[in-house]
Amino acid sequence: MMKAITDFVKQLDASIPLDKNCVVKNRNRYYLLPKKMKQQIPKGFFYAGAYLGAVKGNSFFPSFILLSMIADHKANKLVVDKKTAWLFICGRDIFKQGILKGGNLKKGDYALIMNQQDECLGFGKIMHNMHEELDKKKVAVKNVLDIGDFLRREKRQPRRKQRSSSGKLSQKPVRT
Amino acid sequence: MGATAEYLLGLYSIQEAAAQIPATLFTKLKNKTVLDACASPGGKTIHLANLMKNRDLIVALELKERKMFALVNQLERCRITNTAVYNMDAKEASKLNMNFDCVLLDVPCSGNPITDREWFSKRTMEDVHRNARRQRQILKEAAEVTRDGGEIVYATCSMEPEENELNIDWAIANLDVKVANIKCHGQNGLTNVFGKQLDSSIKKCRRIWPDKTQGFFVSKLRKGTM
Repeated sequence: MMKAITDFVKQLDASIPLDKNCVVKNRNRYYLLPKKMKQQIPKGFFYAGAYLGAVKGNSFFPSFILLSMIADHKANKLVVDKKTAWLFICGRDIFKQGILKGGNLKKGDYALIMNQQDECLGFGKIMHNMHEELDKKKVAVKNVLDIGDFLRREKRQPRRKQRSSSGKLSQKPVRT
Repeated sequence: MGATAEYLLGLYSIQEAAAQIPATLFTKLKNKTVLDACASPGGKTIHLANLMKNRDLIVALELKERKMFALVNQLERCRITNTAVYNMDAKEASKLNMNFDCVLLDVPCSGNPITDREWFSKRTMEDVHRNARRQRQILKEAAEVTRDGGEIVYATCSMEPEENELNIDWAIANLDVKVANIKCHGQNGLTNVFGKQLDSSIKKCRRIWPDKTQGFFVSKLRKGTM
């Protein structure tokens, strides 16, 4: 059950302590539940504890909680400057000139993208050996996942209809 | 404000000023099991989790599957790990077979004209009464799953007495709860509504008239003996 997660963590050349007895699979999603919580809560939850990621087809889609957990340990990391960090969050790839630290990674490696405050912004795939001279116009790291996804997910959700076909406004209760 | 790196990293959340009150009203949250019975979109769940330092346990319920997405998206963004979310009606909370020390009821309500400009054209008294009935059902279920001595914080963003003071008056008469003192912004709850004299303890509730904040009503109930 843990293979999808451990394989992903290995891709980042990292290792994190995960108690397999505390990892719970719910539909295609994995959660890390503290022992006490696992004993306390009834079955049938929609979401619980630390969400680790989801398997869709043959691919594992990590959560940002998992990425932060990996970032707390030794792993492939690239530190980028402020402007590059913002562009990365906006879904853009990274050019070599924006990378401040982490120059020994090879083409095909995966790396966490960190800002200068050591916060994990997502991860990307290295497109060229980092120690080599690189054309400034060529992408050095391809964006795979970034925290801007929280906003993109919301936009992907279907909006609730505000008016019925008769043009009358909905009369649903509101929640603050 | 919702499109900054800091927001996306979960370093802050955005909440209307009056909506920040309910989670702060519980006497103590350390080592407590908390129920957030109508949780989406998750602002108060995140607030509770922060007050609990992401420890112990929050059980969050949301009836509408469509609204679950916003809730879990917020939890992941803020790296909340002490919360279990169920796609469940608050009126059926006892099906969890759990008891709670603290219950937050931010119940679905009719809202108010400050946050909804078309409020007067889209609301009817029938809506208000229907919501009030539903709120009583949720209150009844909350009282059932609350431990003796536990606390229920009841909040709405409605200004209608039917959804506020009259519901609390009904709860005092029909459920094993009493109104507890709270210290927060706002005026005393109304004890005379439409000519009907309500329980005098209802003045301990807080009615926040729309001014610098939206309209809001909040109260704290304690189950069993005070």
